[in-house]
Amino acid sequence: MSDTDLLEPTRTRTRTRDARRTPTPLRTECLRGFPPLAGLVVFCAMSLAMAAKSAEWMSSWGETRTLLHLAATLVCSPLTAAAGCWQGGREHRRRTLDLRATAARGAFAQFWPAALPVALWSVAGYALAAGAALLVNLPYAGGSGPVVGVLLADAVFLTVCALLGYVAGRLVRRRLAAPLVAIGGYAGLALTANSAPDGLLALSPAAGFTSESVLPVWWQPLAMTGWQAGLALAVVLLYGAVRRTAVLVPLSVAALCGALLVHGGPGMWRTDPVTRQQVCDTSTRPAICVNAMAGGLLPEVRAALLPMIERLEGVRNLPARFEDGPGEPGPEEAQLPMLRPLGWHARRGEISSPGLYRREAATALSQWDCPHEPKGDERAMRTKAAVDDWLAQDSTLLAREREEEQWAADRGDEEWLADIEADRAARRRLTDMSESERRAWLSEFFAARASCDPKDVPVL
Amino acid sequence: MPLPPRPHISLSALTVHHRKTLALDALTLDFERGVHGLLGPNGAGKTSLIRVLATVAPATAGRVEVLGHDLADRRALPAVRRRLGYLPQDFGFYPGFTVREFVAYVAWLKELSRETTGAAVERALERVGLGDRADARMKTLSGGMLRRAGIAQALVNEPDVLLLDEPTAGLDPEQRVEFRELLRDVGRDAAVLVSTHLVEDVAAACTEVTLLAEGRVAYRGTTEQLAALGADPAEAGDHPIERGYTAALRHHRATAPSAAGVTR
Repeated sequence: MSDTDLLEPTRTRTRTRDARRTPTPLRTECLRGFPPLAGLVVFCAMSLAMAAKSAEWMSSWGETRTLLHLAATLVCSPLTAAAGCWQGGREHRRRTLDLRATAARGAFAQFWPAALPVALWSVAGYALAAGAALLVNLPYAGGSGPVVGVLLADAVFLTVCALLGYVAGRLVRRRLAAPLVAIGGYAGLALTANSAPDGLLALSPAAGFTSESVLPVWWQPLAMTGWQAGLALAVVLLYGAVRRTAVLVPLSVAALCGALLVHGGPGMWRTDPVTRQQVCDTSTRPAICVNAMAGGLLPEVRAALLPMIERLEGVRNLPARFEDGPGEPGPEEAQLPMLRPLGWHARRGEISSPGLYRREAATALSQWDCPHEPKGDERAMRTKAAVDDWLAQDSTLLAREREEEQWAADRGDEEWLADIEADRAARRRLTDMSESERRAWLSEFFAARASCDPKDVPVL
Repeated sequence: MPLPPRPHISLSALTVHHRKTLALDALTLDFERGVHGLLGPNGAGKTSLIRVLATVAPATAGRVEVLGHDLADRRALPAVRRRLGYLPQDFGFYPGFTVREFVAYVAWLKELSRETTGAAVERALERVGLGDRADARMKTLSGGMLRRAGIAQALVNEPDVLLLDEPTAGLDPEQRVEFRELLRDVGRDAAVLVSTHLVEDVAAACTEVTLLAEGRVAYRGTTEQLAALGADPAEAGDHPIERGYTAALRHHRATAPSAAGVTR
């Protein structure tokens, strides 16, 4: 073996070590300069957009995916395009155009390490914010869960915006180009999302989730990705002056996917089957069923209704369950007070006012179980109100009643004052009953629900 | 009998227009291996010539051959650019990059292989005396250091043709002395074109001088020949080269009809 042979492994190792130490353009571009800032801006924009609407999406996968999609497409994509444009204008601002013009690598090869970092950081900012929103929801959200395809399609859209923005920045050598791209992006998305005809609307990246209870068909995110990425790649190929015929491939993909989207139209969106499902707690009587879209709220709902349910122990003729499905409640069912849209009774995974919620539940429980609401008489209505108040145990009731009384007294409305006093007396009679007497009376009261005759309501 | 080696750079009737202004007027020149000084007053066409040779700007007419490739043939450009080093007059850089990252980036632009880039970057930085500042950010460098970083990026691919436009601007006297030594070293294997206003650099480092005026060649010869032109101490200038420069320029203006720099 010669000396050269002996030295060869050492040289190879040194070369490998050198290669590892050598900063690659993509790594350098990712770590230096503007791209990390672009990622931070996207993260902050996503976080602010989600935080501002937190009461509406926390605890619902449907609302979460809708808002994530809108925040990514309507709020972040114009910002990402502007960031890409600013990065594209860098060569002009830094006076490196001549240096790049003498490069052996063509414009297409130079494009990727310079343009991709803004896209990668923007997607990272989006992914971080979206991941945080999904994690926050994980313990208690109900519904079909996040749609991975849509999350990926939105990430692709952000990438496309960054790349197209970069091309714009290279071509338009003005500092104002970046803010103009952002403004143009917002205007364009708002126009296509609001006033485009159905067919063209399907091509808009911002369109789609019209409510929390819709889901795209499986191929919609794929077609949307093909449509956007195809167009973007065609533009990049044109910019990179690679063989012009190569542009035909991504253009064909974009045209095919675009045609699929236009043909699919509103038919690409279906109702989430979960909206027809309920999750129930049958350990109580009546049982409590919550729509599966808000299934994570069941323990909170149970906790809110428990004081009322405890007062109903031993009472007969009650509805079998509270239901939260689409349409009217069936026989032997009472309508659970509305949990969705979130933000009213349910906020951030909690029942915002358990007393008020319980009162609405009590009202629904004592509702007539008839095809048509019978014409109530005053006695029956007062009795029902007394039962509702007693069941709800709403701590705000006495204060509200005192306010009403003061109001009526100030106006000298004797009739109103008499009404308030009659309500109070009816409630007192119910409270003063013995346990067994009240159970029997309430059983008779709930039996009258189905008779649909106010006269059958027992005297209080 | 073997053919004589082809010149590194060959210009034939090279004409360059900037809009309506004629920058280079039917220039016919060859440049061989060695260090060539490109002198001339402002607007003489030095930067225009360097930019055409660097493949940054196109020729309006005429033929330009670099390393045996016709620059009009776009397919030949990558091969030329791989063997070309260029320091623009207005050297731009990315302030957030470290010196090593910046030079490595240019090495990548020049299509150096990943295996050789590390060593090439180290060598280029050592040659310009920036080895100890390799990990400093570009924005922290002084003007002279930035210029040296610019020279390092031009040298990273060990070019066969090195084009330097005002390379000594911002360098202190000691750095200029070192830089001239570097030029002589590079000029042993490559054709080096140095556009400058500083005649001392030309006197110390260049083997040949080309004086441009109004887009034409006003004088061509060795440094010694130009210095000989300035033997008359009555001529304006403190240095024989300076006096030779002034004499050659005056002679050109007296004999040649005005052409370049005027609207046509």
